[in-house]
Amino acid sequence: MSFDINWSTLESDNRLNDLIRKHLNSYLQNTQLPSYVSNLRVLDFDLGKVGPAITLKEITDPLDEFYDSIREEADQETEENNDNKEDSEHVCPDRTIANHEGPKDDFEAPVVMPSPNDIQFLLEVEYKGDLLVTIGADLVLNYPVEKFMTLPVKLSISDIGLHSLCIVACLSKQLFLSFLCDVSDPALDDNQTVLDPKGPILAATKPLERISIVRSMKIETEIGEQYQGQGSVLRSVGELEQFLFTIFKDFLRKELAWPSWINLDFNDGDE
Amino acid sequence: MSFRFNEAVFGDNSFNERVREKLSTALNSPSKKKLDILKSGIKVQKVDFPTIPQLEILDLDIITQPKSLAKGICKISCKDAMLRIQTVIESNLLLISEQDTPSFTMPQLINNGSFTIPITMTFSSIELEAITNIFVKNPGIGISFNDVDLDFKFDCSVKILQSTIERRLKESMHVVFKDVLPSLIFNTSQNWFTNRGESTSTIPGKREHHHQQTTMSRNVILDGSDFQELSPINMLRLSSIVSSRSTLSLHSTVMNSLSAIPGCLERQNLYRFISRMPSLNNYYSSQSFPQPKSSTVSSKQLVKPFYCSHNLLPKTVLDSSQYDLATITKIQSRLFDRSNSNDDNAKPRRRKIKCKKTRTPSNLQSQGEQAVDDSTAIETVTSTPVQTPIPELEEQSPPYLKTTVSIRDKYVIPEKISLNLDSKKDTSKKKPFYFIGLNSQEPSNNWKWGMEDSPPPYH
Repeated sequence: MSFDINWSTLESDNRLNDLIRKHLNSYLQNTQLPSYVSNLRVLDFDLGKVGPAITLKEITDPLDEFYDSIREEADQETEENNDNKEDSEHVCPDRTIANHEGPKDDFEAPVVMPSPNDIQFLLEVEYKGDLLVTIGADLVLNYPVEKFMTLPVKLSISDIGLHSLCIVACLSKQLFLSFLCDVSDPALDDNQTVLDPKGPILAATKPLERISIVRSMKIETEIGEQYQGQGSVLRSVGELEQFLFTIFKDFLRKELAWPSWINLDFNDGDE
Repeated sequence: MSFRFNEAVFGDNSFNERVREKLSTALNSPSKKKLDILKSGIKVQKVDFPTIPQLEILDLDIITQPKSLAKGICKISCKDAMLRIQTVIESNLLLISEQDTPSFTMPQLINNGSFTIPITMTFSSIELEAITNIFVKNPGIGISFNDVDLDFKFDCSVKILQSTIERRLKESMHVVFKDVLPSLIFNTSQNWFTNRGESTSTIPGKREHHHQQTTMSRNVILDGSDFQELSPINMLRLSSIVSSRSTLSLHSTVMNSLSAIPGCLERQNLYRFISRMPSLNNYYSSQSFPQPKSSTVSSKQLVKPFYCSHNLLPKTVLDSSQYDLATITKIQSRLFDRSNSNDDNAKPRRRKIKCKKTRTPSNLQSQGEQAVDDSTAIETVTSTPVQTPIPELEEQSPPYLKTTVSIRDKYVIPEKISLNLDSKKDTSKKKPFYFIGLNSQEPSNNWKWGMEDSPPPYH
């Protein structure tokens, strides 16, 4: 473990969990939800007692892919700029970057020159903590009238386990973050083999996935709500939990797993 | 009660009105054959649900097949409902339909004057309790009633008929729950699914097609126009596969070929194929890494790469620094290409988030907006000043550097993934017919995937 994360200070701060929860809620309130979901909110949030372990494996020059993408972006933006200038108002900050960098890149140096300040870290990220998030939402049936029937659903997510190689690169004031691959870990790997006819390889529609990122996650579902002390609440629907987990994994893979990445741009466009 | 109903809807009369309208249209829908005895449409006069019905989920099952979404078992109970319908019936018992009757049976005495009687039927204090199976599929909601307990009071304006009708109704109730109600619900929900907008429907053309078909309640599965959409090239390929299958050729069992038919994988070669698939397991297990003798590498673990269903970098490789970053990225990019092989335009998603340095000291805000899992990871690195050539990892984060504002919700970069040379050639040259992923079977591909020369594991 290369990074000493002082998790106990986070843990001992009571206000922190609350603050995060409130912040997530205010964020969720401002997002547009589909018509059949309403009242999405975070009911409970707990960072847990165990922090992630992050090991620094390598410090190197950033991979070429990052340079390529910056260059392509600059190329594309200058092109767009030349083509239609009137459309460019709503993405103003980018334009200015393109104006500053684009022509120079195009005509003087076609490649964004690697600078000695560029750096890339290869990190081994391991998390087997006890983070707990509880989410509540109402599924709405808008038929025959608006909000005719609602079904309250509660999900609690815990026991998240991940163990991956993660790449973080800093170049030209941009930060790239991508999960490269999973690392074998006896605590997380199940011994599912291809001999299992339902295993991922034999299923022709589902080829071997390159990465899971989150390898284990416990989702507990609670569907329905007691009304005036009557009725039953449906708990722990295995199929549903599995389904949600798959969707979540697919989402992470799509957004964060190599060759996709998240790019944080620290260029102050206007200044 | 698992579902919460909107009580306000039941408070005013709008819900009853709406149900009345729906019921009238359903009862008078042109797809139903009109009985001769009915002389007018069926008019629903009054519907009333004074108490809120209850709907409770007993079981739920999610099926991830493309069309069906969910299957549930529900308990429905409903009290004190009432329904009044009115129609006009023909009561001339001597009525003869002249066009259907052959002349030799045509009686001499014909009295075809119409004698119609209006009739009103009232069902009151309806109590229903039923266990239902509900299937939510893309074009509609299927429902089946299993355990129905129904009770109602019946009142008919023509008293002489009351007992007969009531007896018959009770007899035919099982048909209502077995056939009438499910099809009614399916048809209405089909309208709902098709009208509800783009979110549920997949192909706009199909949707309109469906819409026209709802009243027909009959589906044409395959008509002549469908054949035109099949590409002749595909048909040719299929027929060549079929014909080569029909021979008695034993080529496919030859040990060193994966398949007799290009692009096809024989079942007996599956393990061999899997062992050559680009994956971290296969790559790193094929290398002769000096395994630490003391480590607990059981025989099972040695075999494991062959079977392993996940793509994992072995921990021992990582710890002993025998990995190669370029190799890993290349494998992962190839796997990405392969998983998107049926979509040529699939691009990795590379979201760009603009971060501005704001002078607010609250770091917590930023944490909330980033993905929860990664917040620590991001935090650690943003704390190192970007310009420093050699990062001092111990350095505390400058208290003011912080972050996130706008997420541009489009793909900022329409990137092509730049792979290394040979894989680039792959994508340009091959325009293929993928099966599970045979596109890794390039002769130009001089990588060695797994244990090519060792026999399949079942020997």
